[in-house]
This record gives sequence, C-alpha cells and structure tokens, in this order.
Amino acid sequence: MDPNYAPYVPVVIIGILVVGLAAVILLANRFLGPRRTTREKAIPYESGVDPVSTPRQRFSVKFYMTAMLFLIFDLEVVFIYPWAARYSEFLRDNAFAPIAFWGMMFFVTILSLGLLYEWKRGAMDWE
Amino acid sequence: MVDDLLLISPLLIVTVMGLVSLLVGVFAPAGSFKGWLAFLTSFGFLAALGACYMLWHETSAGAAFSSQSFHYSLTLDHFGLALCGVILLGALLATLTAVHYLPAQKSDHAEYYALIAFSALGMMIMVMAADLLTLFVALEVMSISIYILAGFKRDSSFSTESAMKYFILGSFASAILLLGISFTYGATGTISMREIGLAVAGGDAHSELALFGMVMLIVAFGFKIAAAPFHMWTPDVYEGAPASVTGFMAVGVKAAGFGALARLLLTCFGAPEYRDGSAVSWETLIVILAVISMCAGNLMALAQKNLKRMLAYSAIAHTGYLLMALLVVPASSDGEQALNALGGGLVFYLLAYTLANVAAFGVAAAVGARGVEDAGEEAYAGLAGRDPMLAFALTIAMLSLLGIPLTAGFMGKLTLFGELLSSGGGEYLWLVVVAVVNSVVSAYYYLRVVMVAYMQDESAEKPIALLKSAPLRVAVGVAAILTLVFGIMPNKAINASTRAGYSLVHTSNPATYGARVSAAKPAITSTVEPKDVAHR
Repeated sequence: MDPNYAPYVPVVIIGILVVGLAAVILLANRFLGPRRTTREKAIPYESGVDPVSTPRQRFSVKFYMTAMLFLIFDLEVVFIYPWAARYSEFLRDNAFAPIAFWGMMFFVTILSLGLLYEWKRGAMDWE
Repeated sequence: MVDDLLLISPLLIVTVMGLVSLLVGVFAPAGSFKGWLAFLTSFGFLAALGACYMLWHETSAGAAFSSQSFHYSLTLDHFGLALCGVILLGALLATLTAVHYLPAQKSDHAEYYALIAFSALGMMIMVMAADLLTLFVALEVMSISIYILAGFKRDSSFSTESAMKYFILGSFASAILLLGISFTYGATGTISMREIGLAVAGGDAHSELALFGMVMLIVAFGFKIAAAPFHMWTPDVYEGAPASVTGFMAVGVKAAGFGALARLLLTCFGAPEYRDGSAVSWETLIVILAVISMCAGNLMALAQKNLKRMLAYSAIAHTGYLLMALLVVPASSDGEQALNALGGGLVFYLLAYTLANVAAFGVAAAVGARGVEDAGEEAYAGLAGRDPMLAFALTIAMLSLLGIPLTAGFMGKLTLFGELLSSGGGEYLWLVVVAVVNSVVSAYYYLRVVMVAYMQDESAEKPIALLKSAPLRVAVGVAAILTLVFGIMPNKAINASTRAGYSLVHTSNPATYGARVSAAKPAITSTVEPKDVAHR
C-alpha cells in the first residue's frame, strides 16, 4: 500500500466499525424486540404532525427572510470568535493592532449596513 | 500599512459606491426616479478608474503590499490594474445605458446600481487574487450579483427564466471550481497560487491530483467565460436578461474570467509538465476549447435573427479567439517575450471587445426598451432613418467585432494572431488560419445587422420604439468613438497592455516557464534578480 495513505487506515477502520455497529443494533432490534404495530405507531413521528403531504405547498417568503437574517449573524459570529480569541495577541504587535481593530470594524460596519437595508426593506416585519 | 489601503483604493471606492446605492434605495421614497444614482455610481467608477491610473504609475516605482495587510491574498501588478481598468470602463458605460432603460422596463430600483458596483468589485478582486480562496469568494461576489441582475425585470418570465438558468448552471460551475481548488490543495497543501506553482514545479506535488484539479479549474472557468462546450447557458441568458445588464455581463465577466484564468494557469500550472508536457496539458485543452468555441459560436450565430442572441453566440466565438492569446506561453521558448505577447494580445483584445459590445448592447437597449423584450430584426430595421447616430455606432461596433481595419477589433485580432505566430514560430499557423476563416464567416451575420439597420425599411405596423435617453447616447457614442480611436492610434494602448503582460514576470512564477520541455533555458535578460522572485 502507498505509505501516503497509511494515516487514513484508522479512519477507514472507524468507518467500518460505525457502520457495522449501527447495522448490528438495528438488526438486533428487528429480530429480538416484540412487534405489535398499530397504524398510529407505524408512522415516523408517533405524536407529531402527519409527515406525508403534497410537496407543492407555498411557503411564505417570511421564512426565507428570517433564514437570511440568521445567516448574517451566524457568519458574523464565525468571523468574530476567532478574531476575539486572538485579539490580545494582535495587540502585542503595535504595528498590527490598529489593522486588527479597524479591519474588524470595517467588516462589522458593512454587515450592519446590510442589516439596516433589510430592516428598512421590511424583512423584520412579521405581518 | 495604511498605505496599503491606498493600493486597494479602486476596490474601496467601488465598495462604498455599492453601499451608498443600497442605502439610498431604501431611504429614497418608493417610486421616485433612481437614474441620478447611475450618475453617482458612474462617478464612482470614474474615480476608481483614476485610482487605477494612479496606481499604474505607482506600481512601476515598486509599490507593493506589505506582507501583513492582506496576507498575500492580493497581487498588485500592471496586469491586474489593466484588467480592472477594462472592467471599470465597461461598468461605467453599461451603467449609463441603464438610466432611462430601467424606468422604461418598469424596474427602476436603486439595487440595480448597488449590484453593478458589487459585481464590478468581485471582478476586480478576481483579477487581483493571489490565492484560490480569494479567487473563489471574488467569483461568487461577481456571480451572485450577476444572477440577480439577469432576473432584474421581475415580472417578466423571460428575464426570470434566464436568471434561473444562469444561477443553476453557474452554481454547478462554482461547485466544479471548488472541487478543482480542493484537489489542487490536496496535491500541494497550499492555497496560495505562488506556492502551488513552486510545489508543482519542484515536483513536490502529487501530479495526478494536481492535473485533475487543473482540468476542473479550466472547466469551471470555461463555464464563466462561455467557452464551448460549456456555453449552453449563454444564448438564453444573454437574450433574457435586460439589455443593459447583458452588456455589462458580456464584457465584465469575460475580462475577469480571462484575467483570473491567465493568472491561474501561469502562476500555478506554469511548470512544463502541466503546460505542454503531458497528454492533458493545458496547452492541449486550451487549443481544443479555442477551436470548438470559434467554430460553434460562429456557425450558430449565422442562424440568429435576434440581435442579443446573435451577440451571445458572437461572445462564444470571441472567447475562442481570446483563448488563443493564452497559447503564446506554451508556444514560445522565451518566457518574457511570451508574457509581453500575452498581454498585448489578451488585454488589448478585451478592451476592443468591451467597447464594441457596450455599444452594441447599448443600441439593443435603446431599441428594445419599450417592452419589445427581444431585439429581433423588426426592432431595429431602418434604424438609420430614425436615428443615424445610433445606427452609425452600431455599425462601428459590428465592424469592430468583425475586425475591419480602422477599428479596435482589427488591431486586437492583428496583435493577437501576430503575437501567436511570432512566438510560436509557425507552430500554430493552422490555428490562426482557422481563426481567420472563422472571422470571414462571421462577416455574414455582423454585416447583416448593418444591412438591416441601413437598407431595410421601418416596419409600418410596428415602428421602432426608440428610447430617448441622453446618457445612453453618450455611452454608446463614447464606446464607438473609443473603438475608432484605438483602431487608428492603438500604439499607446498596445504598449500599455504589453507592459501589463510583462508585469506577470514579477508576480507569477517565471522560473516555471520560459523553456519548452527538454529545451535549454534561455538566459534571463530582465532586471529582475532571481532571488527577488524566489521569496515573494
């Protein structure tokens, strides 16, 4: 075997183990467990909503708006956390400190302008 | 390091213009005329163009980013600046055509100008990108803005269809691009183009993986620059999108795509094995793409009756001609001379193509503005009688695309073919012959447009619905005049584009090309010391 691939052998082993274990558990349940099915018990979400319906439904665009708003803040956090974690390190370098600070401010400003745009466009009005 | 902000001033100006337009859009009263934003945005593009001009002279004095500011993710060289200039010129003129066109289409929204600015920003970063992730993000900024612009006439199913098609095929291309990037990363362990180039040339890379990545990257760029056989989206999208958007899309995306592709191939895959050494070298791939694009584009264009659709096929054909410019590098035995030739061919041709297309799509916007939707022959038959100036500009644009002397298109083709012949020493004579035959074929459909505009009569029941718009006429007129100026006095522009190509000596990996496989390396005659190159 190509020695380059040697580090991946454990990954392959754990992959086989995971699939194997899951298969064993599911099959054991099928063969060992008692099964007295009723119609209600056979549906995937026993006490939830009916999972089968026509797929051609219309969704309100509001949901997408909320998803997009969430995405803005989510991405913001993804960038700000690592920055904040290393900020004290940045401060040690006098030449780099202002860039580290104002760079993030620039980013947050652009994001906030995007938020302002969405706000004024009415993406936050639920009605 | 604050100086570094000056070095990206064109990008900053365009960003600010985009944000301003976006905010004006929500704070201005609904339904008010937004055309003045076009002038504001154009002014921003003009300022950015000025900044590029300033940087052009600055960079020759040795300006460069200090290492920390952008962490080697941007390259500042004449090649990038020249293409930024072409992109900004296209954006400037295309913005002016929209001033009265959008209200006529009942889609006068301020977001239009914001999106134009953002996509221009993406294009500019694309040609300056020095690592693959910056390249990808820039490409997405550009593409997503253009997807929205293509569907800007929201209540027209035609426009929406074109946006949908472009979006689906474009995201497919983006996925392939990402796959290529990840394979290249897997093969070399770095995303910096320069280091990929060094790893590839030094034999540190896993060569099958790197080759696979290279093919994926070329395929993805093939989509973006509309090279056959990846061109299927082009006619539908060009036809359905609003004419002012199509004009910008045709020129900007192409300039950005070619700039990024050239930089990518020369910096990352300049090593002989990838360039011309193996069966899937990019030389072979580019030759195949070029021949198919030229032939398919020209043959399909012959059958088109619609001006916008015809220009879409002509864009595919021009992609074929432009791809030939990339071949000077593998064909030549002298790296520096090859880069000079590349710049002279590619950048100048893109400039000529930009001007001609802006004029042509400007006319298409003027005649197709009143809900005619498509620019069929009826829409502009007899235009010369109605508006001699627009008809004349259309003629110049068509002659330039065809390559008739005294237009920029002729000088572009002459330079491109000449450089390829002189650097290849006749190796690509057959390809030049194919290109010239194709140009002759293209005369049929370009001249047909001129004939329809001049020699047919305006149809009595459906007269030309001409848009009265001073900014549009200015944009079309400027584009036509510049086409003539660059056709008659091309020296300065050709020198500048040659210099743009030459600047790649400093910013790509000159050590990896310049000699054919197994041929002796020519002596480096430039003033660049090899050590200067090594630690960049």
